[in-house]
Amino acid sequence: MTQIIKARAFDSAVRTQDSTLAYFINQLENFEQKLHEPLYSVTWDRDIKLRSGVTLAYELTSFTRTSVAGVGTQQANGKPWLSANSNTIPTVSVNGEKIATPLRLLGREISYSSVELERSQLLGQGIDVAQMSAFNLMYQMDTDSQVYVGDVATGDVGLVNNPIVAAGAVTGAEWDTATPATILEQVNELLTSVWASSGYAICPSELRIPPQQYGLISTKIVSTAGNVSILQYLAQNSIANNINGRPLNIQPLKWLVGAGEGDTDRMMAYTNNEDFVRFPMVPVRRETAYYQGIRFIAPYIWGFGSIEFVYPETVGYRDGI
Amino acid sequence: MTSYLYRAPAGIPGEVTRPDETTVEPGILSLDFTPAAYGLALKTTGGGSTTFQTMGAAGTADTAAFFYGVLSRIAPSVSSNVAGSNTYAGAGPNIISTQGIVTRGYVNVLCPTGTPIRGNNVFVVVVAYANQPIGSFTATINGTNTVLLPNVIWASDNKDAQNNAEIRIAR
Repeated sequence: MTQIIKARAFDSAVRTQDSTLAYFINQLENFEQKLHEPLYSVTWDRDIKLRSGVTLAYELTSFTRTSVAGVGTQQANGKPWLSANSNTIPTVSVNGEKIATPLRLLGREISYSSVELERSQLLGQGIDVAQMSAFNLMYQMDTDSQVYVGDVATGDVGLVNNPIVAAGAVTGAEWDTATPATILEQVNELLTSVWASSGYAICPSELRIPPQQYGLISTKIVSTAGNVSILQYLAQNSIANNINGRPLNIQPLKWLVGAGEGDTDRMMAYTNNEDFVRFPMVPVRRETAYYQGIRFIAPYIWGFGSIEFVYPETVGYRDGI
Repeated sequence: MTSYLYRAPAGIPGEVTRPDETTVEPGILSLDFTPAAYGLALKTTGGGSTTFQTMGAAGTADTAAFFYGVLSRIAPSVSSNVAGSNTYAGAGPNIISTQGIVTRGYVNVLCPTGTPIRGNNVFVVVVAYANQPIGSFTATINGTNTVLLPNVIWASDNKDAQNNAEIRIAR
């Protein structure tokens, strides 16, 4: 017999293939009314600053990148040496480019009939509360996805998959087989290359790696003579600590799993600063709720831009870790 | 048991997805060929009765004209009775309650075979085959087992890992 997949909710006695949120309870059953919501993890508020001053009225967010130039007196790219009686003093030139990305509207409604609400209250598991927390889960996961990987449908890119960021494969083995020395070299190469591409102005203060690799370096000892983990050693002894005056902030990030070229695992170094990289976002707001017959409906709307890489030079990816 | 890594599922079968533009009519289910799940296509039993049963019931050669709507999910509600008892601890929609039938608008259904593409054809299964019981929906035609529904389209691209997809019923 053909069987459609209906699995959604279960109780221990009877498999409720089509959960309708009302359950069969034995007289000798201690039923806990607490809503056990799905487990999920979002980290976007740890890893990105929001761009300020954006409202839902805007359709685009944009910024400019400025470049400057000035000719030398002896060589084109030289210094403006002068003679004491010269009247041919070179000037400076300023150029700029504007980068604009769409800011898009999003929305979702929560909706239930007065009878559904009343029934759920009778059960001690309010449908209004359950729907609101479901909404919040979806909203948080949407935000997380937009921040890190953008969106397939709109073509937006995120923090870990922007093609304008310098990427490349690491030299040496993947971390599960690499020696501690190799891991240190690979991370150092990423940090120094990002530091160099920013004209040695900005040394990354953040390192993000996939959760598996995070677990690995948090337990693997840095050398046979050492007694600290690679994680601890890197945080304290990378160039980031010396230059920025604070330990390299190494955190696990699920979106880096398979984010690299050919679905390899990726690591990312950057600086979490609104001036370098940021997320234009309009937080969610509730619009006027309305009734439709016996149904209550409350629309919520919010806005997502795509991550703005003001200085893509301050970000770097390395694949195959 | 429930945890989500990157995305939550796209829906729950029979759930109205866009309430503002959706019409849900009340209807009484037939004792014969009662739909086993929410989100299945319904037709009237005919013969002077206007109760509703699963489309494709009785092995009849149902055509698209038989399609009345999609059984919508009411939550919380008591689930169906278990045969031979009065426990109401069963798995499917409840025969004794008045059910909601989506006759226009947006509703989440299962699409076990084929990949939905927004605006493309929706077929309803009138003769069961692999993974597709009667009354279920598919994006891929399967000979005379399926019937094209001319006033129904897929409302968005793709489906989630549990085969949830959204259809739009025009009136």
